[in-house]
Amino acid sequence: MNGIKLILITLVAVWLEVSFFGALRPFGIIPNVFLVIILEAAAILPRSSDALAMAVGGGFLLDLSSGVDFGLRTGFFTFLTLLVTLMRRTGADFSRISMRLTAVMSGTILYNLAVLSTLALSHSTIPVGLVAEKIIIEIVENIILAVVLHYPIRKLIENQHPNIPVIPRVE
Amino acid sequence: MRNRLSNRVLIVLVVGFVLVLAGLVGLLRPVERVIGVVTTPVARVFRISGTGTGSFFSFFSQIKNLNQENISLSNEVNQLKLQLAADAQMRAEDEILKQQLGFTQASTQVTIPAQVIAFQPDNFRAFITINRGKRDGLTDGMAVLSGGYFIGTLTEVSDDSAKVFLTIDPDFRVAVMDQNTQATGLVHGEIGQGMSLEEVPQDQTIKPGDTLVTSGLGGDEPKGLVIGQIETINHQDNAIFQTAQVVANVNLDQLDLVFVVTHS
Repeated sequence: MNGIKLILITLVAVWLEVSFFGALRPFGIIPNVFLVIILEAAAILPRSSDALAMAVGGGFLLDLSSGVDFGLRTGFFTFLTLLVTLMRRTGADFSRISMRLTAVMSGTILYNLAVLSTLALSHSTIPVGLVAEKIIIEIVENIILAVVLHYPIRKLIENQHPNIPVIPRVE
Repeated sequence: MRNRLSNRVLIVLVVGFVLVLAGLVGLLRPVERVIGVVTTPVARVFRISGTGTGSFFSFFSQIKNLNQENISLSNEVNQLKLQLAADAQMRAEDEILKQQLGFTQASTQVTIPAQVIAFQPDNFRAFITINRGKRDGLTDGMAVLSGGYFIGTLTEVSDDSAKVFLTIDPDFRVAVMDQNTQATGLVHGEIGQGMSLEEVPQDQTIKPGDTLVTSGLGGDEPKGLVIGQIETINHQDNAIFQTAQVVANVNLDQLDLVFVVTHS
């Protein structure tokens, strides 16, 4: 039942990103819903393999939705989840809102750099101003989503494994 | 227990790596088909909800512009009516000339409507997913229209869905011709969701407002599909080619219904 909950959260996050917000596009930008949710999951779930499975599954679905660069999103979200897990092991406290919002901002910048890096190989000029504007708007949208979704996601996925004590450091 | 959990992490990583590798070599087509069948109806619901929500909010933001927009559109309709009348006259004269010269009738376009169910999950590339595929007779390379404009070509066609490579994607290229002056060039997408016209020789004439159509050269797209209009020209005397900005009167961020050209 708990595994099914994680699968449903992953599916809904992907659908929200590629279909709902893809059509809505506040200020012309699609917010990265899955990034916000996977960071939240990686910060909360006591078992990192659960967050990693969400990252692999959701990244894979996003790669299927994408027309190019198959594997980029699977690889990126897996790397991001491992990074957050490593930071938790070394004492980073993701219960603080400043830490979570910094993670969202950094994750947004890294994700867009990963997408742009594939274009940089074939394009000699990249309009830095326009790119920066789009990334800044996306950061604002992702931060708003992180604030709005934090409590609902936390209620849904905390106590994922009631028999495993929730401790700051994970394996 | 620590070892069991570490093994779990390793297993997930290996599964992810295998999935990506299998996807890259094309072994996951059956999996993609199943996922497509299951997720397409739900994705459509999410997309319709998104479009509806966007329309609701945009209504309030556009109220103050409605009157001015109404006047502007009325003027444009009147001008278009006059142009249509003139075009009808020219078409009639064209038919008479064709009959006199013994020209055969050109074939008409056959299109299939398709709904957009998903968009590219980032803000710098431009692909959409539609709910038609091989079962509807679609194949890679077919042209896609929206609002009468050529907006892209089909790619990754599966049984029940297909991706559309949009003209505003930075890697998209199509050979074009100026409908007014017959100048030839290449239109490609730009990072930032625009299009530009390039490789127009200096001795060929292009003007702002000219309509660009597909030339049918070097691709599967039929000839004569309207891509957009020239907005501004970047003219440099010491450059080999002229370049220009191209604009299409269709919002490629708000696509809902598109048409795939199956025969032309």
